[in-house]
Amino acid sequence: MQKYRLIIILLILISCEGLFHDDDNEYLIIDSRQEKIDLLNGIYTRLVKVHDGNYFTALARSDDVNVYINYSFSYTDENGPHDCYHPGGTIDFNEVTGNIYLNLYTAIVSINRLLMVLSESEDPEIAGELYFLRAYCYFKLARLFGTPPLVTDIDVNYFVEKPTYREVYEFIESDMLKAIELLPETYTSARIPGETPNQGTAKALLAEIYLAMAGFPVNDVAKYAEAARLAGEVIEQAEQYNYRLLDDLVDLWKTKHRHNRETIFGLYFNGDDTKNEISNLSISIIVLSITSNYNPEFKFFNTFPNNYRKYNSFVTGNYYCNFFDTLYQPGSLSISTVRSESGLVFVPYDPLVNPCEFVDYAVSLKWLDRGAYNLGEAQWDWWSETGGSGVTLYLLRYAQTLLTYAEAKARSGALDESAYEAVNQIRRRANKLDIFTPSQFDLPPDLTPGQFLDSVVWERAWELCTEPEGRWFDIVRLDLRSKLAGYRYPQDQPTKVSDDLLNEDWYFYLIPQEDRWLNPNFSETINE
Amino acid sequence: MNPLRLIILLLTILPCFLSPAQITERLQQTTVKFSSINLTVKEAIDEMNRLPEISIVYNGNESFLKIDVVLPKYPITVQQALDEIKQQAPVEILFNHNHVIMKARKMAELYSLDGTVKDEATGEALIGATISPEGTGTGTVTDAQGNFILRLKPGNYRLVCRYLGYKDKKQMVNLYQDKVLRIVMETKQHELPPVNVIGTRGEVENLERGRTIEKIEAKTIDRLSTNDVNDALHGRIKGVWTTKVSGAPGDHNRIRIRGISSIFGSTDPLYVVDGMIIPVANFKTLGIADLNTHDINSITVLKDASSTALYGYLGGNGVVLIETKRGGGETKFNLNVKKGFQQFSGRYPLMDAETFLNTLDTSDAIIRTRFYYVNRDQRIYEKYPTFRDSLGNTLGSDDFQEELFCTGDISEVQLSGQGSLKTVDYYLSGNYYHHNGIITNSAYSKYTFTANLSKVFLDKLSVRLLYKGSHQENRNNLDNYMGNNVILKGINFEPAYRTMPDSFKMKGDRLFYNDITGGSIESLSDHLTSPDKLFHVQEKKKIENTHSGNLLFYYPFRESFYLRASYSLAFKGIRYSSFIPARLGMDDEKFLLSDEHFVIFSQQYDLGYEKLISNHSISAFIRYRNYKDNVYWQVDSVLNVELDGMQPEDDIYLRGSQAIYGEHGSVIRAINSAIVNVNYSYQKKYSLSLIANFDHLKEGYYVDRTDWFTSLAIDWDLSKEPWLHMPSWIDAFHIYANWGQAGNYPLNSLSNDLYSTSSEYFAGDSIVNGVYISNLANHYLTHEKVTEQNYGTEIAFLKNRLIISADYFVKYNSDLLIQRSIPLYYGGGVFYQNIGVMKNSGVEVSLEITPVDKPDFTWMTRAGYSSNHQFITKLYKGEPISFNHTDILYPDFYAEENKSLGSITGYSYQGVWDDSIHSDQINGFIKYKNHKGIAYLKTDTLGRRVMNENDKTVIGNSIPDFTCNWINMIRYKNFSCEMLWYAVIGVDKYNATQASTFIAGTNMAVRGIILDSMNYITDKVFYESSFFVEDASFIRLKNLSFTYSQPKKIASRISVEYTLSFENLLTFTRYTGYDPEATIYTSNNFSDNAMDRGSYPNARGFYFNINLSF
Repeated sequence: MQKYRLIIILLILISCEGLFHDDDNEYLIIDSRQEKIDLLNGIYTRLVKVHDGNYFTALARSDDVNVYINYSFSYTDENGPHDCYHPGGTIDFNEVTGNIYLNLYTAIVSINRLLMVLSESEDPEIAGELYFLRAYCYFKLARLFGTPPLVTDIDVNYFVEKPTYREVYEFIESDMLKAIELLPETYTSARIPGETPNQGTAKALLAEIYLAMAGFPVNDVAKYAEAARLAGEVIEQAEQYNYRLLDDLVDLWKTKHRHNRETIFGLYFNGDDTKNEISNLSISIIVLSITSNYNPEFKFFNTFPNNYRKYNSFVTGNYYCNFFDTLYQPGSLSISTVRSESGLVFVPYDPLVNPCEFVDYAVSLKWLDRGAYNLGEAQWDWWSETGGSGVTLYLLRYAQTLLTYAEAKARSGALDESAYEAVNQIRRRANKLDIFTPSQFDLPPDLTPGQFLDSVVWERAWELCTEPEGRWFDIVRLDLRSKLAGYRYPQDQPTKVSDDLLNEDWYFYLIPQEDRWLNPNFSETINE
Repeated sequence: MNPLRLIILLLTILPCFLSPAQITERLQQTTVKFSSINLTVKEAIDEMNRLPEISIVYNGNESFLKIDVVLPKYPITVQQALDEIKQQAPVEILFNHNHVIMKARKMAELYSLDGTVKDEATGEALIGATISPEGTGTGTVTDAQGNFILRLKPGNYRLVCRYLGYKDKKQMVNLYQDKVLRIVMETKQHELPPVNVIGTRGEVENLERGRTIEKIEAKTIDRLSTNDVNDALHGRIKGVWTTKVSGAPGDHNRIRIRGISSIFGSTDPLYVVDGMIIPVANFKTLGIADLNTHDINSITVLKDASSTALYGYLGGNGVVLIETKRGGGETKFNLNVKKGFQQFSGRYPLMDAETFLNTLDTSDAIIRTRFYYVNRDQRIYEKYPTFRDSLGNTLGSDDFQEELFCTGDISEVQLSGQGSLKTVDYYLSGNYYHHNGIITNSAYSKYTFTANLSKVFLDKLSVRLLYKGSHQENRNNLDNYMGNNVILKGINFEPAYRTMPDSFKMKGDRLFYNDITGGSIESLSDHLTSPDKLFHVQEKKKIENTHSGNLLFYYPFRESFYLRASYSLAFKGIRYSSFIPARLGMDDEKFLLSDEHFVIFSQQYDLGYEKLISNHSISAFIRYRNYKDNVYWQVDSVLNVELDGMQPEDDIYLRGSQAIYGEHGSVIRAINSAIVNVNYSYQKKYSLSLIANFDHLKEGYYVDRTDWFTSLAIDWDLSKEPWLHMPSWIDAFHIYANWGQAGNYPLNSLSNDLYSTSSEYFAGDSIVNGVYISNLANHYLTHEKVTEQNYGTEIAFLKNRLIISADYFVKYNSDLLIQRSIPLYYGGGVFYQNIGVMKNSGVEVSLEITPVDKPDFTWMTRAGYSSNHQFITKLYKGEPISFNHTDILYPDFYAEENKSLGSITGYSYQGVWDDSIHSDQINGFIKYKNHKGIAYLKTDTLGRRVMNENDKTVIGNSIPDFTCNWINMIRYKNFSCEMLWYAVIGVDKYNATQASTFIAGTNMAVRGIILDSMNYITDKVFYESSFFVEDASFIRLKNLSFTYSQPKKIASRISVEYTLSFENLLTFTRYTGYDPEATIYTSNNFSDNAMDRGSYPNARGFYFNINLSF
């Protein structure tokens, strides 16, 4: 008997395995579908973090569009003040670009980890989504930083080689081609229909990538035809992918339309939750003012055509007005209204008639959910938690794809009616007209390709102003520095464009100081 | 005639002249001294025949001639010799005429061997001792009187007598007739833990030769003033540098065996309690704080890598083996009651309220600028001598430093019982310990229960079952004393302050306010953060529950083999909780909970072999060990917690209990080891010991590796070499050398990626969980490697009255864990790489003298000296690693290539500039005067008139040059006295506590500075300067105790012992802070020792103890 008792005790002891908390290492192994989905969601949370206030500050270098950085915002140490946004300055860009860079790479690390354990045959749509997201992250890095380190593993390597511009784009292209191959063909079969990428999303993005690749700094002009082909496919199969322009562009900025057919790729927010609403990103209203970090650029503002689109993109005022009192209520805004009781002065838009020095504020109205809050009724704290906005953050919308199509067509020497039609649809909507009915605002049909392209580029600037994929990237890819040098009002404060500091590298941010210290391959010396 | 024949004839004829009576007389008168004590019968007879007139005749073909007999070394008569031979060999002795004839005797089938087994010292009969003749497979056990009878075939036997808690006794027996034997057994109390039968005996006993192994016995441990096992090691063992990190109740010592072996890894030794491996990292697992010191029988410290190679990946920082007490023997109960008090008298010179306000005014007048550390509004108080502000609120004026401290006290009750019940030996013990600290509202209490049962089955299989459970509660006294702690609060808070307005109210222990119209938010936070509120309102707790069980088996078989198996399982749960009231620390009402659970399981199987063949002794074992540990943690934070008894009208901040979030994680680590240990010794003169340990480690997702750890030790006792002609007063003269490898594997699972699970995304119209990798790990991380050489000698003189031992060691710590930043393109954060080499060498000397050793009076004194020099020989690309670099108010701590570890780097303060003393150029340096008139030593020769990073130099060394201890033990009749002195010499410390009072402007010294119109207290360079670096060397009378044992008079069965002891009675130091020994606790391993930042000081205490045994 004793023998058996001992054996029983031994068996009990040896089978102690159950006492260990084994399951809590779930994300280290990543074997269930739910874990993969959780990681995918994690990547989107990083993308949300990328597009914070700093992101818009970084894009604010797009001088001629809407803002430029106020010189008075500078950092002082014992060596004197520095222009903290200038790459040549001794102060690093990290404050502004560090978060963008880090969050994009944090997303990439998770993507790489997930790709390691994922079988393309078992979870093709997840693999496709991952390749798509990685391509997107690198596309963003490429356009902001030029030659970001290309990382595809999770074993920390301090000596990643510095790639060439072309290598970066070829890497992005190959990822996106894989995504097209793996992603579902229709929006209904996507992981979350209408929200997560399908084949059309990848194609539309690849068209953007080709457009960028055809321009500065890779300058592979052959890619314009590719861009036109892909954008054309998206437009042709718009029904299948569920894309179309919204009839009223104001609907884009309403929470109740957070899911809409114009979104090709966007980030979604829950306006009711204080943790997950777009105003937490500090972009719901971009306040442009002389006293803030951003100054309105009068020339751009004043040359913006007076139309429905403009009223719904900006509101301006002078410095002393309590302009929040007068924020837009649908249908009540008139450009010539002067509301003296609150001190607000709206500036008419003709630069020849109206001097611009009275304008102190230019406020973006995008992402302000005007459908949900009647701002005229009460003073509204725009930083308050109660003013949550659930508007979608558009990373690519159908309007941009139409313009990309038009531009790529023209640049590849295949300018045709379909290109005109694509631009005209945007122009009609900007004037609140029926999108498919020809109107007085259509482009004249007999433009030279050069004139046509000018119109398209400006159309993009106006249509996408203050959006994450805004004007700045066009300036880079089209190498517009020389053109823009003289494009200013005398009233506009001097910008770097006229400071003779533009060079090829000026278009790109240096990668953050930490990485330049850690990786000698990126430790370029900076010209002061 | 054949000459041979003639000789034989003569030999036979000669004795004929003697009569038998004469022969007997002759045999009794002639003495013989044998050449050796081990002879065959034939050799013995031959030797005796060489004596004159002795003739012993025998038949040369008899088999008994070859039998070995043991004969005394000293001269005996031939008669006695023959009797001895008759006892030991089957012979008969006849007298025929004048011949002595020896011939074979007819043997009986069996002879009986009667015997008793007794304790050597007390003469008590030992019940249940096993006696077995080696190689026979039989044996017996002593009865209640300690007697035994064995019936054996005639022959030579080696009897082995074993009894738990005693040394094995081996005795040769030549059994050729019935025999009575008396076996006395020696206890192992002064040697090794009595648990030996199934404990760690094989390990330590066999390792002892050629290695440095030190022990502390139960007697010392029982008398500690606090119930903390680490205290026993404090100052008592050479080469073990213990820092009493803080005097906080329940806080632990920091133990470093032979210096700091790691920069970022753990420096804590491995603890092995009753054979169970318990790794400790940052006091974060089942530490030895769970143990009750009264249950401990002995502590053994393995210092060098050559012995810790046995523990492979975990042995790199040394190993502390702890054996608990076991049952059996006389039934005995023990009651121990202790009461003690602690007092702390150190104070910083701080200003009182009036001086403080006065100073502000005066300084304003002089420097015409606002002294910005002080809230201007408070100056208003001076205009109101009755200490009322303009709103009519009462102003407080408090000496917070005085309020900070109170009298601490310690209470302890210990009850234990031991004995045997039927055949089960038991030891049961319960303990309650409570300690109120010297800082207001800090306390610690501990309850422990221990049970130890053992039994021998089937005469051979020993089984032992152990249970240890404890409950500990630590109040306002968490290990981590950084940051906003009460000491800093107390001494930095302005002595004049606004008190709580009437709109505030206290409810129970907690403070609420329901009206915030009484003042601005700032003033509210002033009220709430004042130290008296902090002392009473904020509450932090740590609760630990531990359960551990061991089951051990020991089974000897065949002649010299044994099997040993042990299973251990331990659980520990720790809950940290803290309640932070609303607005205290400018935050919402917060209730933080953090839980950690540890599970440790290990099983170990030994197959051992022990054999002594004439001069050769061999012991060896093969071991398989499977060790597994699991750390599981969970952190919860409850904001705006609903509190019991709250009324709806109470403030909104205190209502609702929504925001709860949790983070959790878990790591499992498993180590499988195959170990071989072989020990060989020749005549105890030359010894050789080998260990080979093949470890396989699996941790988390990425780590799966195997490594070898080997060691070799040799020992040579010179005193046993006849050709060296050692003087007779040298008892032993060992020289030894050893070499070994061990590892230091991080416990904190540094090889697993960290995932953030707390982010959310809005997808598909609902909030979903988002997970991403927040910090990659090094997937190829390995252990820090320790390779150590040790050379030593031990000499004993004058019958062991004087023992000198000395050791020199050189230790290389390679593959050091170094924290590095991860490039942002891998997601940023930090991880660890195995880079860097550190050389650690030192000398340890100890001297033990027993000047008096008489029955009534003994005096033993022991002094130890240890030094070690730590030198970083290699770092990654030679890049220095800096600690605390971001904290601009304190100096930096660097680990730099080709420099000693632990240097403090900052600006060299040279006093206030005085033209008559200071000149610009000194020895290539510049004495630089800043605009505030302070002189610094400057290294920058560029002529720039600013101080910058380049001008920092080494301004102190935080690792002591050497440590010393001196123990005296005096016993006179029933009185005994123990005295322990401890000294740490040649160590610097940055007194950040002092610096903080400068920054806060509460220090009296600041007043002088302000009034001299030199407000350089705002100068950051000043705080990073050597101004605050002090020599923290100290000599301390750590312990002084007097014991009186009452003779057994009260009742014959009760013995009483009274002890009065003093702790930290005297301290000699130049350090101006509270305590030169206390330090802060940080995550790296040397800046903590280099700084005193609000550290909890060690107090002076006295304790009274009564011990009753019956």
